[in-house]
Formats: sequence, C-alpha cells, structure tokens
Amino acid sequence: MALLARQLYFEAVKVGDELPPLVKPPVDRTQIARYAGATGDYNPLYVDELLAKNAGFPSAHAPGMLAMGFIGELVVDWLRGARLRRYTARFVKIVWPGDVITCRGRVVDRRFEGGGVYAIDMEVWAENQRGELVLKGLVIAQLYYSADDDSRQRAGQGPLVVTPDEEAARLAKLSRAQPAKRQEPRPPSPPQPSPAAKPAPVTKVTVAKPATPGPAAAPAGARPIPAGVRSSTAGAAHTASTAERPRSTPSAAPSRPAATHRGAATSEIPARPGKAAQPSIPSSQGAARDASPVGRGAKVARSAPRKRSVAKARSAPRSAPKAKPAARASRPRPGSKPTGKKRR
Amino acid sequence: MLDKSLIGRESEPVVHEVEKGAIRRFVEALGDPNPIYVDEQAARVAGHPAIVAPPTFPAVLAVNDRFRHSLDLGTRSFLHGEQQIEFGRPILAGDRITVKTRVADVQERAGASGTMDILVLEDEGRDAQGALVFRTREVFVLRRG
Repeated sequence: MALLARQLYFEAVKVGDELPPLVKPPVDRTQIARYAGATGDYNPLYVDELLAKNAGFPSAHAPGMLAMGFIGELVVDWLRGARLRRYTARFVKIVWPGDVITCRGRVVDRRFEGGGVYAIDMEVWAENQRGELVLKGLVIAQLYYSADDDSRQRAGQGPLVVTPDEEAARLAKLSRAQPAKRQEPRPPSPPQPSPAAKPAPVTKVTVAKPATPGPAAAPAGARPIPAGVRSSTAGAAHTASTAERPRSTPSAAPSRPAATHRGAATSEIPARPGKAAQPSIPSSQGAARDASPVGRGAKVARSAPRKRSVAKARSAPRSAPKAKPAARASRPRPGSKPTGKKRR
Repeated sequence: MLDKSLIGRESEPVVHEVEKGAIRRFVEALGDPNPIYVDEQAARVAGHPAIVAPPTFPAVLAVNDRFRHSLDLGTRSFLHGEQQIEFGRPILAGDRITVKTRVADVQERAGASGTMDILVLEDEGRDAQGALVFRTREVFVLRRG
C-alpha cells in the first residue's frame, strides 16, 4: 500500500532504466481455463486438448494475452499510477502449460512532448524457462514531471512545463552541489579482511591472469577484496563500492563499472519488495502435483534473471533478448574461482 | 483463402457493463495481486475514482464470438499473433462501454507450413458520453486444414 501511494515521476526516469524482472508461477491448465473463462475467449486451442492435437499442436496452450497480462502487471507496478497510452505486443512463441514466464522491461525513450506532457517508451518482453523469447512489445506511458506537477494538476491547475535544457541545467547544478552522492549507497560496514585473507586475492589474480605482471598486481591485491564479497548475493551494492576504488584488481576491471551503474539505478527507483517471493495464487491447485520439479525450476529462474539482466546491461543494452548467449559467456565470475583453485 | 470482401464488415455495437466481479476474476486468472483491481479504497489511494481494470482488460470486452462466427471462418485453428491496445482512459468498475468490432484487413501470407490467412480485427470502446475508452487491434493467423 505504501508503495502504491508513491508515484513514479518523469524526472526520475532515465533511458536504460530496467524494470525489476517479474517471474510468474508456472502457467498451468487451471490458469488457462480460468483465463479463458474470465475473458470469454474459449478458443479450443486453449481448452480442448484433443482438438489442439488434431490441429497439429503437441498440446493445448495458453493464450498469448496471458503473457501480455503478466507484463501488464510488471508495468503497472513499476509505473505506480502513470497513465498508459499504448501497449502493443507480438506473440513470438507459444506459451505451454508448465512454462515459467519471466517478464522484463527497459526504458528506451523519454520525451518532452511540449506543453507539460511527458512520455516514456518501454520495451517489454517475456521469456520462458528455456530462455526463449515468447513475447515482445512496447508500452508508451505518460507521466507527471514531478511531485509538484502532480499536485498542481490534481488541484486543477495547468501542468508544470519543463524543457530539456532546464532539466539539464538543474541536473548539472545538482551534481555540482553533491559530488559525493555516489558514495552513499555503500554498505554500512564492508567486511574487513582478516590478515589471513589477504594472500588469497593476490594468488587468485595471478592464477586467473597469468599474463598480468605479478608485482603490479600485488598492491592491488592488498586492497581488501574479501572472498565473501564476490559471491555475495547482495552483489550490486558491494561491487559498486569495490569498483569505486581505483583499479582494485585487474581481473575485476571490465565487469564492475556496469554493476555500479545498475546499483545506482536501482537505488533511485525502488524495486517493489518481495514481489518475486509472492505466493502463487493460481498454481496452488493445478501445479501442486508437479510442483517439485517445476517449482524448483522457478526458484532457479527467480535468482538467475537478476544476474542475467546485470550481464545484459554490461554487454548489450539495446538488443537484449538476442544477446543472451554472449551475456552468459561474459559471466564466468562465479565459476572462475573454484577452477583457479583446482589448477593450483 | 479468406474472402477479401470481409474487409470493412462491422459488428453490431455491444454494450458491456464493467462489473467488479468480472475485473476480479480477470486479475485472479492473471495472478495479479495489485489491490487497485479489487479494493475500492486501494484504488482511491492510487488516485482512481473507483476500482480500475488492468491494461489488458479490453481483451474481455473485445471478444465478440457472434461476430466471429458470422464471418464464417470454418473450423480452422485461430492463432493470436499480435495485439495492440490504445488507451483513451482507464476502464473503471461501473463503466458502460459500447464496443464495435470490424474487420480491418484480410491477407494471405506464405509460412513455413504452407500459406496462412491473416485476419485483422479492430475494436473500439466508447463510454456513455461517447468518449474513447480503448481501441484494440488483433492479428490472427488462421492455419489451413
């Protein structure tokens, strides 16, 4: 409720902002039947298994509109009250019973339309548990510029008119006034490395990158990068703080700045808390029987998308759905440590 | 192939009363827990005058089986390929919305499994005052055989 009362304002949105991924419980046949009943669209391909098989499909399937509705949930929650203008979707692949759908979105345009009208475009898409794109779409929304604009318009006054130049000037002023803003999201007390922990990063660096001259790496290794930080799931904030330090480790250099960026972005736009952990309403009945395999898959998917989207931000901010293999390849981090040890 | 003369054919206007229960069943089917779709007070807090319907709710209002049957498309499988929704204003519980559907286009397209017919429908929903509430456009792929 408290979250709903908050508005998302145009001034806080940047091109490239990512919506926190929404992982829905597995789509089951009960949900498909409920959806068909709720819409009155009893397309036999959704509800008649035998007919679907006779028509050449492996089974009945979910309406594409179901996935479009899932993304609607993601978008409405993120926009928190902003007005939707247009929502288009292409149903790229069929959603089958048992599929776990992950919904994602990213701001691709931000427009001053003049006369106090502000709009954003969001590229949205949905993937199944195999990482296949099932839906691709675009959402156009209209936002209030700021809380001030919001209250003025609700009071029946004209909108607040801000030009791009005025905004740029204000941002420049802000960044001059608060140069150290970036440092704030640093975690309260980064774990201090014990003396014993020190040698570990040094050796790791030399093992991972044999080409790096040893002496140069040594002072960097002396910087506190506790092993715990790397594997910590709270990653974004931690890595952000390590990246602030000048050239902490050579091996860390290429990936960290992107993580910093994401950390900053998420701290500005509050993700809705606990969304991923929400109880699955429709899956409670139908999915109960196959809950163990699929349910576990859902859990994996729940944690993986976050990492994956970070990887995406690093590699290809625009063509995300296609760039997945590359993004995966550029994420050797968790695995690199054990192998380094084994080699030694 | 589909008859090109279907293009432009329009349905009778259908009046829908948007009921709270219909919105609730729709969001329950989606598994969307947002309270603005079911709780009057939550909707008010979020700035709406009444319970609102989620963005894809026009799908409920745009389904016009009688009209589709009248097109005499036979028993071919009907795949939904694309969907566009344009919003005039949010749909609220208690709205009376008049919806008209028309055939916007009929095409033939070569696909992997032979030629397919493409049927494009457009729907328009207007409230009691005649103001635009939504406009949708659906692209269906009709497989032969």
